[in-house]
This record gives sequence, structure tokens and C-alpha cells, in this order.
Amino acid sequence: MRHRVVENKSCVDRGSTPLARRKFLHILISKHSVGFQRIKNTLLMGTDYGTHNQRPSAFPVKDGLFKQRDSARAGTITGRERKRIQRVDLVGVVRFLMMRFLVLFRGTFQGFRHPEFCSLVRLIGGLERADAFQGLQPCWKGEGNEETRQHGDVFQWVELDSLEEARRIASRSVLIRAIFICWGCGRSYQECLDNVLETDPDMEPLLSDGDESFKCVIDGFGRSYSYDDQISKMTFFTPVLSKLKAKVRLKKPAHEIWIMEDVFPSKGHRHIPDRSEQPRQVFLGLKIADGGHHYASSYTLKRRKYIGTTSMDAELSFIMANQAVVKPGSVVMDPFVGTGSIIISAAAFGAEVIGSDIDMNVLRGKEDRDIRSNFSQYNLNFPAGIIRCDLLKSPWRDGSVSGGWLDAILCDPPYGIREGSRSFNEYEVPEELKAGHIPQTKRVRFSDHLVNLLDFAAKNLVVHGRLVFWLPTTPDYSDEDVPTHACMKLVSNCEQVLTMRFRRRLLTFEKFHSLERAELDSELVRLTYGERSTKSAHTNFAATVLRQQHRREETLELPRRK
Amino acid sequence: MRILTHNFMQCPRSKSYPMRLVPTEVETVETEYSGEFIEHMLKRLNWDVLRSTASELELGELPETMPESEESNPEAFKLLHKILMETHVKSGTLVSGDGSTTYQINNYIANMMTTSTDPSTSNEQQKESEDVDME
Repeated sequence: MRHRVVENKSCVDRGSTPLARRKFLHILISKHSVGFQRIKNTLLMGTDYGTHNQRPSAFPVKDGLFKQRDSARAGTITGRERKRIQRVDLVGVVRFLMMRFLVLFRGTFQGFRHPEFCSLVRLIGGLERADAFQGLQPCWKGEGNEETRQHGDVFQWVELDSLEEARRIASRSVLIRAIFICWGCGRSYQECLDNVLETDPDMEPLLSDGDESFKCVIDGFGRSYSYDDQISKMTFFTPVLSKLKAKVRLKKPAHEIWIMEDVFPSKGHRHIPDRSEQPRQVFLGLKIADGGHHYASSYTLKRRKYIGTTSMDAELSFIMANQAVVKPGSVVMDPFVGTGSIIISAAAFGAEVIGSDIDMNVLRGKEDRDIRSNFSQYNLNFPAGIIRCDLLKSPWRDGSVSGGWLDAILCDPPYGIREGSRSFNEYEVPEELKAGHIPQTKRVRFSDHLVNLLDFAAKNLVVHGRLVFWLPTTPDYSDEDVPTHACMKLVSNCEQVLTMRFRRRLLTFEKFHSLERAELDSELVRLTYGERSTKSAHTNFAATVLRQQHRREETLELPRRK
Repeated sequence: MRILTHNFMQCPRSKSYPMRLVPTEVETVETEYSGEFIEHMLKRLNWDVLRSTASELELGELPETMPESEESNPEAFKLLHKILMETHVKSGTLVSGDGSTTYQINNYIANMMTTSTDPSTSNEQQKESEDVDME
């Protein structure tokens, strides 16, 4: 019966509006009436699905989809009904029941958009939802090379379960500007207007002349407009806007209608956009959720009291916490905590945080400023522990014995530019000097730290816990540089270009099964990585980037003073 | 450092677990109660260690067996919240299980790298002599 669903494809394409979805459902139900009584009842009971956006919890179609995958998880549908439902293209039905949203991203950190979004779907909906998630679709399907594409794709389509899901994702994401229900889109203003009039989207809350209010916002990606320009663009949409009966209120309106232009320079992102250039895409949409960029601005390092040379940018540390799926009650550790800039983002999301570092000076802080004062600056609960220790001689109970205890590990390991990778230097201390002796540390190879970090994560994370860290690289990076571990699965790998020679990659690993099962393999993996690590882009990183031979890792291993 | 963290720590030298916590200064900071968090943490904690630490520190007597849920023993959960979440050890020592090594806790920071054996004479504030090569 797949072909019949395809027949109604135009409706599916317009499925972003509740009205179109309702029309499609009527066609579907009338054509496949046999066996659909139950669906019909459920849906007709909730005809307002489009406006309430709440599906009854025991919704048979969706259950049916999951049952296709896992027949053991039988729920509300009998075997006979299931067979009938499965005869229709269920994926098509479910996809159609999903709501399509327009996501407007910020122009920065383009490589991180998709991984962050996927992590948030997992955070809000759980593992099963994340498996079924279809991903983001760039709105722009035209020409452009890979790099230009990534920079320009601030408009993306996404299919989500409900308005609620979209709102919750947006509120956590630092990369999303806003999420919209798209009323119409096109390659020019005229096309966009025609599209709106043709599809006749459901503008329900704004059609009544009750207490509802709205305002119109003009937004150009890569451009700003004078007052007169804005007025003329709004006037263009009069055929649509005149239907709305709600009051216009410019201060604190209940709804916002956005006219969005994508004027990405046609020559590519390295070129300055020309004022005369026409927009390549135009969208008209109702904003339903704002992004969570306020996190990055209210936690900015500019106003933080205690920072150091390696403090992580607030925006990036929130991306890291999102990548690690940190939620209230998670236990999060940063083994290279420094001034605590990364764990602050996790604590802001309600996690219990633990930080450790080998450098006592940075933990102790200056005068009245230290990690704790940063936490009190933002009114966060104090960290569960700040420990001075060496990751290579870990003071943590061996997790493999008792099962994992950490939900996430977030860190930016020291790689030798500003902070060197260090380890406790073991040597004999004469008896009379032992009291008050503070042991020396020595430099170790970065790759030793890396292998240890993975091992530490595999031992101490709970299953499905995540390890998120930065790997410094150069343009010589190859995928083989990424360390591997038998228990850890690479979830995402995104690059941030810092300078011509210096890049870093945010790696996200997930522990996918417990250590016992992989213990033997892990030894093997570690050995093979040990050989490879001498040839990777991050070997002798400081020496390569700064072009200073004396920073080579083998020279650093010798203590200079004895 | 909180008792929660102590429950996960072992001596990095002798690998003995648990370490004995001997606080000299303890602070109580009130935090919002979350029964959900406690329930979720219980599976990861070592109950016997937690129980003995709580009674050594005179924080209260926990039941002999781990309470299953908040409904079954709400008082124990309230007490657990006080022990795990609100009690901060400002200063004191951590002594490894075999008594061979003592680690200092100063200004809420536990130093797990001292080689000192005698807690009374060790001086944490001493200038560190470790910065061998400048970055």
C-alpha cells in the first residue's frame, strides 16, 4: 500500500501545518478504512491534535512502529490489529504525524549544529527516541561546496514529535536562535507568498480577536534592514497578515511572526555580501521557541571573577554539556578542571560536579577568588569535590569492580601550549624531608594522557555515559588520530578551526557496554593505539604549532632541575 | 569536599578502599532537596562505607539496609540528603585504609598527592617546588 501514501506525497510535504495533516489523515482513513477504526477513533477524539499538539499517550500507530522493531514489547494493540496496521506504510504515517519545524541556527560553530541537536533529542526523548530521530535537513538544496554549505545552512528542517519537544530542545541549545512553524517558503518573496496562500496553514491562535497579540519581525541572515525596508517587506505579506485578527503589540507580544531572508553571498562565505544581492530563500513562520543562547551570555568569561589562561569559552562549555547529555542529577567530572570553566556549565544544567587537577595553585585560586567563588557568583550548588590528583594515579575507586558511577566526563586535556600534560614524578624522599613535602611533577606525552583518559572513562562511566573532550590537531589530521577503546563508541567528531595551523576537535564518546565484556579487547586496542600515537597530528603538538624544537615531547620528559 | 565524593575515593598509592575521613572543620550548606537524585545515587554508593562514615562523623544513624525508595523510608532520605548534599568538609585529613598515608583536606580541596606520613606536621601552604620548566 506504499504507493497510496506516496500518492499523497504533496500533503506530506505540506505536513508542516496541522490543517494539511488533518486533510491527509482524512484521505488516509477513508482509503484504508478497514482496520483503521482504532486509529480513526483516537485521532478523531483528538481532532485538535494540531492545536493542542498532544497526542493521546497510548497512540496505536507509534506503538505499532516500535513493535515492528521489537515484537516482545507488545502493548496496547492486539496481534490482528498490528498485522493490519503494518500493511500500510507505517513509517510514512508516523513521519507524517511528526510535526515539521524550521530551525534557525546562529551563524557560529557550524560543525556542531547537528551533533548538538541529536544529543538534545536523546536528552529530551531518551535512547529510543534518539534511534528513531531522522536528523536535520538543510533547507538550501542549491549549489555550493561543502565548506560554503556548512556556513550557509542556518535554516534547517526537522521532524519532531510535538511542540513540547521542540520547545525543550530549543531551550537547552546554545546554537539554535529559534524554532518556527513554517507557514511558507520559497526562493523569492513572491514564491514564499504564493506558497503560504496555496498551503493555507493553520494560523489558529492568531485568527480570533481575543487577547492574543503578535508582532512581525524581519530577519536577514547576513544583513540588516532600514525601517522603511522593513515596512515594505511586511506590507508585501498583507494578503496573509490581514487574515489575522489578533492585536498587534510591539512590546511583549504573545506571538511573533518572522519574515526570514537567507542572503548568503552567492560566491561563498569568504565574500562580503553585496547589498544588491537577492535572497536565495525566504521564509514566513510563527516562532514557537527561543534558543538557549542566554546561557552563553550570562555565563560569559568577561564577567566571571576567577579565570585562568585555559578557561573554556562559556558557549563551548555549554555545547560540551549538551553533547554529554547532562541533566539534573547527573554526576559529572572534569579531570583537568583548572578554573572550573567546563563544570560550571554542567552545574548550571543541574548536575553534581567533581573537578580534579594536578596543579594545586590553580585550584587554590587567588585571594578570595577560586572555583567556589565562581559557583557562588552564579548561585550554583558548590561542587561535590575538588581534588588535587593525578589521572595516571587515580584516587577513584576502581569503577569496573562496582559498576560505573559517573554520568559524564567533560574535559579539555592540557596539550602543551598553555598548560603542559603532567604526571606525578615518583622518586624516593628522604625521611627527614617527608613532612610537608609536595611531590614534583614531570611532563608526560599527551597521547599517554589520552589513552588514560579513555581508560578512566571506560572504567568509571555508567553504561551510556559520555566522555566529551577536545583533541588538538593540525591540518594534517586524519581519522586514525582518534583514540579508540573497545567499550567506547565515537558519537561525534567536530572541528573548530582556531588558526591556520592550530585546530581542535570536540570528540564525544559513549560507553556502550560494560568493561567486563571488553576487557580483553581493550588491552589490544590500547597497544595498537600506542604505536599509532607517535605518528598522529597531535604528537609533539606544541613543537609543531609553535615551531619550537625544544618543546618536543621527548625533551620535556627529562627533569631539568634535580 | 562532600561525603558523596568520599564514597568514591580510594588511596591512590595503596589502592585501599575506603579511606578514613577525619574532618576538623565541617560546614553545612542548605540545598534544595531532591529525593529523585538520592534514589538515583543509591545504586552507585557503597552503603556500608556511607553508613560507617556518617556515624563516625556523628551525622546520624542510617538504617542497616539501604532504603529502596523514598516512600519506604522518608526519614532516611532526609538524612541522606543532609549527609550527601549539605555536609561540606572544609578541612581535615583522609587516611588510607592501612594507615600508611595521610592526605590533607584544606579549604575544601583534598590533596591526593602528598607523600607525607605525619599529619600533624605537614604544612599544606608551603610553596610548591614543582614547577620545573616554565611553559
